Amino acid sequence: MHPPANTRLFEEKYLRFQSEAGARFRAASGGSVPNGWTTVEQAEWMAATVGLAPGERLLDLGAGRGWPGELIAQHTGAQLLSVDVPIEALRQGRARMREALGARVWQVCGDGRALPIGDGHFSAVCHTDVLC
Amino acid sequence: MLRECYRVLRPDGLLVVAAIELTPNLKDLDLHRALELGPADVHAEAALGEMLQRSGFELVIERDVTREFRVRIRQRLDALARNEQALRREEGDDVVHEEREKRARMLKAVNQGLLRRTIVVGRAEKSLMQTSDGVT
Ligand SMILES: C[S@@+](CC[C@H](N)C(=O)[O-])C[C@H]1O[C@@H](n2cnc3c(N)ncnc32)[C@H](O)[C@@H]1O
Repeated sequence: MHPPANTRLFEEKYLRFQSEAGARFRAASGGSVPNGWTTVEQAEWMAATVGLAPGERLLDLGAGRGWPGELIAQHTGAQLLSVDVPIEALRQGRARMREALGARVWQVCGDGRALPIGDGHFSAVCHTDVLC
Repeated sequence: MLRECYRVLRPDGLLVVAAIELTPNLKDLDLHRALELGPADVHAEAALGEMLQRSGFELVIERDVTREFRVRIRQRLDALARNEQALRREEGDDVVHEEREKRARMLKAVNQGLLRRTIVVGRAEKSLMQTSDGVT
């Protein structure tokens, strides 16, 4: 068994820049989901590289608000499971992901070191800026 | 976590990982400076591609995106400067200060060639494992 995931720093991070000035700052920081380092071009490259067929399953692990899994699923037609620990991150991404993907997206709160998912379930996994 | 990625992927399924990592083969002093300047969660254990291979993946592509990463950090610092007054009022001085320090340190480390950002793609090679288990 693992000790609980230590994501307290992230939990605090997701509570920052939620004010009006914070929203302007995030919007001016570039990218469609500011705070992440993956650019739109890089996410498009990922979508082209993983080559998922419509309906295939994609896991975005340590997804935060759901980027770049959202764009990859949008471009490929894949179904997306978006997993992270801080519920606040999932909450902040929910409306946007629903709008982009409708019923093709599931958000799950969970520890990426011990996923409650059977072997061989996904055709592709993306994992951006999580490793530490 | 890479092992979990491997486990939940179907045979030949693809994994895409992006991470900020230390420039490989840094000498003692540079390594020390990189760890000091880099973000607390910089990936430092081994090169990303090597980590993937250790977890059972065949390395398919490795792409250095440090140049774009540097642009993003600059954009963030600029956006912070442009919104500084309002951010200080609405988020507090500490939040603004901490954000600026953190990003400035990151930029310095990238400019000095100590940090890079990499995207790697790996394929979950599972048929080999089956052979060694005597499944085939
Ligand atoms: C820097 S954010 C990146 C978010 C998103 N992938 C992106 O690129 O914008 C790192 C994320 O990894 C998550 N994380 C860290 N350890 C984790 C774990 N054991 N299981 C699941 N998520 C984890 C954090 O909660 C955080 O949301």
